[in-house]
Amino acid sequence: MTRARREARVRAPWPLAVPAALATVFLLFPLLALIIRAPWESLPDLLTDPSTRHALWLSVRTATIATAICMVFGVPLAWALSRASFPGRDLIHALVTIPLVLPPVVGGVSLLLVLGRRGIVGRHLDNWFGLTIPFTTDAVILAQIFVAMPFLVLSVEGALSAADQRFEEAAATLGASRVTTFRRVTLPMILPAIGAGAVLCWARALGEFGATITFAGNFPKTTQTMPLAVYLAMEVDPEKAIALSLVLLSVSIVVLVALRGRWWNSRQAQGIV
Amino acid sequence: MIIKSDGTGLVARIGIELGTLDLDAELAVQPGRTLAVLGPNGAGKSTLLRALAGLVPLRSGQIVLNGVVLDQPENRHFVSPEHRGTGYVFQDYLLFPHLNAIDNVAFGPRVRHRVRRGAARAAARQWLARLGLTEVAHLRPNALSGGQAQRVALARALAPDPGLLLLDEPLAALDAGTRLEVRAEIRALLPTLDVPVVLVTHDPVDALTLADDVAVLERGRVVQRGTPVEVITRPHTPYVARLAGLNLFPGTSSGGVVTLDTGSGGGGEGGGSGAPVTLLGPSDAPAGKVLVALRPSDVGVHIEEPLRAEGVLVLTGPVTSVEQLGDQVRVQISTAPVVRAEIPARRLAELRLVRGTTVWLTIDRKHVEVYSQTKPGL
Repeated sequence: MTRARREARVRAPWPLAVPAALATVFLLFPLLALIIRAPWESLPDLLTDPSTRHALWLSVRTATIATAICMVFGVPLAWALSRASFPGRDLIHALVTIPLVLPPVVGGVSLLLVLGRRGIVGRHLDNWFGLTIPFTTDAVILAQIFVAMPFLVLSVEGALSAADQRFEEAAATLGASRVTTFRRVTLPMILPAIGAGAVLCWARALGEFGATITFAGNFPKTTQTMPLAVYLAMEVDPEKAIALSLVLLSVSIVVLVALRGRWWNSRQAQGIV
Repeated sequence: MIIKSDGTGLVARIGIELGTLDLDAELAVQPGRTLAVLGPNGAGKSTLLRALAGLVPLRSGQIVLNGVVLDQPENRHFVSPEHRGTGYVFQDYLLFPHLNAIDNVAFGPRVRHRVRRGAARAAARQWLARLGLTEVAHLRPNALSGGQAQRVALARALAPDPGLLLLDEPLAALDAGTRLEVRAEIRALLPTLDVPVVLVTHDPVDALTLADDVAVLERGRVVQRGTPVEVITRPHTPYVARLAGLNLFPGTSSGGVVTLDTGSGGGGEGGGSGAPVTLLGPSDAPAGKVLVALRPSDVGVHIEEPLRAEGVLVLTGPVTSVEQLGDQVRVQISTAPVVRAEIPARRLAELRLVRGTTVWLTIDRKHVEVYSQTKPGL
């Protein structure tokens, strides 16, 4: 398959080559600029600055927790969407992808309407349990879950739909219940896709800005994640903003290396070709 | 809920409509016996096995195994696959790719009998040893040869002590050499199992060598059943006759004379005379609608009109094809009905037959098998 694709490659004619080259420059030049303009001498100081450390640690921690929660709830959701039959399945399938295209700030507003102090659910949480979610680290995590979960669900659901369901039938004839089959046959077979989905989910959570600043605010140590810190730094200390951006850029590159094409090459994502 | 019924072994009537497939087949298999379901592709063989395993629910009929009803749509009774205890060997094995051979085999005992990993592996190791697979126990399926994968699949199906063993084209995915070897192993293994075995195949050699009984399935219906010898010597349909390599002529028998149906519905290109073709049947020929089976090598081929003799049918027509099979040559002659004859290659050189050569055929009554066109019952 890979070989066939390689053989099909030809030299691009100029009406295609020129726009393609411009697109590449446009996508890569800003990233290059980050590296060119980076304050390399003061970089160690900027990165060890306590406020940077707080923001970085908060981002890593919340994105990791959000990813874990996405996996606990998202993998079963992906299974239900690809295997179970229930009313409104197609509709739900379409709806869970909304956060992918929704402006994150709208997501933040929606979360406030539900979980805010006066929100539909938040009101009762406040009255009965004294729980207040908005403008806390929990709110940061919830905002990240909201925007990042679809990435995991779609990745896992794609792998489940592509996986040969007859392995599950074989497990059933051997006496395995649905749950056992899922745990011991389906799950190991789609593990690469779950890994890819989780990495993607984590990267999206790490970069989350709009929903976070709306729903969780911008408080150092509790809700000021790296993207928020970059935005704030841009107004007072551009050099620091560049330094922080470099950190996020390196994280993105690490993520790309970790995925190695799994996201856009679904056959590889299954890992069971 | 368990619904009880009488009888041992497998007793089933499988009614399923699935797309263009309309399956309605009755089966009965005693423990320790093997039934081969033989049929062309698309006859419904795999669907039949899937229904027995509970992977497809019945539309009508019922499945009863050792007195326990597994599927009975009229009572809305359905035992799900994981509670049936059937061993299923899939055509392409479906060994779990993330588990090595021993864990594939241990999977059933672990999940069905909830035994610990150590005990399940010990049971698996015994099965692997029994099938000569000890050395590959720690290999993943993608490192196994076709024959090894087939045996691991068999061990995996047998390890949880199934009450019924289902084999879906067990040898189809193997190369010719391995097929002989694995066929011999399955042949040795089947009589040692004390459960009903249903084997589905389109290869008559599998059916004839592995099974105690054969049911021929065509377009969702059982068209013939019997022992392998009965099926192969007295085919009931053109499909079986072709598998058996026999000429098969439908006809009507009365008073010891068999009148062949000279195929206005069959070959089409009849001799044209329209005169009825009759032959004296054997003395014990049944009356009514009959089938006449004839081995191609028992047909005499002549290029001059032979002398008429008592009990010998003479037909004439042009040769339509000549095809070599080893040291024999198969000749198809457009008589009414169309006959296939087999002659030695040396004889072909003497007769110099080509397409269009007019030949006379002689068929001796003592070489034909005449039997009723009865519908197969259980």
